[in-house]
Amino acid sequence: MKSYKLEAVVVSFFVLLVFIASIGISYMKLTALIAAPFLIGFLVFVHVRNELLKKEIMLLLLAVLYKSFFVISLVFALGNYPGRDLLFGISLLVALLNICLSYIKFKNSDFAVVAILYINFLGGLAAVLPR
Amino acid sequence: MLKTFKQMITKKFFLPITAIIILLFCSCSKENDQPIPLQQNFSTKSEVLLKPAYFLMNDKNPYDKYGISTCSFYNDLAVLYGDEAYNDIEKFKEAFDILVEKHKSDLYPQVDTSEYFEGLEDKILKSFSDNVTYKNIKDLSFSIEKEILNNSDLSDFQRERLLCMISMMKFSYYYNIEISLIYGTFEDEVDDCMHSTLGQIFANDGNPWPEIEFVAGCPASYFWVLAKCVHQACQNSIK
Repeated sequence: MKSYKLEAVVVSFFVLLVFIASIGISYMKLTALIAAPFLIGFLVFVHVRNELLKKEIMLLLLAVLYKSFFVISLVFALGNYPGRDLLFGISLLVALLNICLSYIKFKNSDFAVVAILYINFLGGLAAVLPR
Repeated sequence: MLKTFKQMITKKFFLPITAIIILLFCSCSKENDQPIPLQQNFSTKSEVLLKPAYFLMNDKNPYDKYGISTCSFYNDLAVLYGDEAYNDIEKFKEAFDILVEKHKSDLYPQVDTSEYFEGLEDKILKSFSDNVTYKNIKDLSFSIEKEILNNSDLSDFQRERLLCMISMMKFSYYYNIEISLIYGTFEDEVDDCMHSTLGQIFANDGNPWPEIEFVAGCPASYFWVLAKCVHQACQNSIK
């Protein structure tokens, strides 16, 4: 639970950064572009340390993958780079796969709730950022 | 009672309110409400941003005099780029047309490009466009102009046409670089590089492999593209 809280705080800071960059404040876009790899690195670190996920390597991989895809698709949406729709679609697909797996195979709703939150917040922001 | 109310506010309403604020901010546009009158005389407003590139003039190329006269056009264009009143693309296009009309006599004469894409001519122009940089522009253009003048395989018409094109390319390249050095920030350079690199990867060219490679290599492929662009922007800023 503690790691989830930490993850929520760090990801919300990144969302705030993207949000400020989308307003047009100079050098915030560059900061968000450079912050994304660090955030992904942090997410990998948090997941590798998670005891529960260590037992389910498949879930761990999928969770890291969809979160990374969401972060990258948010950056793509911010810069309106080519391929933003493709990456957004893939991140949604991987997150949905994660939800299905955690519900059906592992009977664990916590991971599914986190995936839904990612879809709603990061996915929602990526979808509404102007083209 | 007050405590439960506070808890209810924080727990139940915090997320929807945050979402609404985010949506409100994203829907705000930065457009000006009032139309801005088009300024027809750009030069009166401008200070001199660009100086004519006399050092690029080759005595053997008669078209280089147009390269000097086009400087006033590029200078006005640089002023136009810097004027926030023309951020709107339609207003910019309108102003650009006026600018072209104003500098009609300063620009290069029209080039007859009929039967152009034939081996040698294409090769000469390509060797210039592929190898030109901000540093070697003078040496490269002079050597290519010398090659054009000495090449016996070219007809007089082709020779004239090539000299005109090389002159046009070298001066426009130089002035465009100068303009980008005036306005381009480090962030813009990284952004431009990201756009062009990702544009090549996600190009609608019927070949899905670059896209598949990028997606399969994510997030490492994103790190690589970003690192390449930051490195390129750093190199350009050192120059």
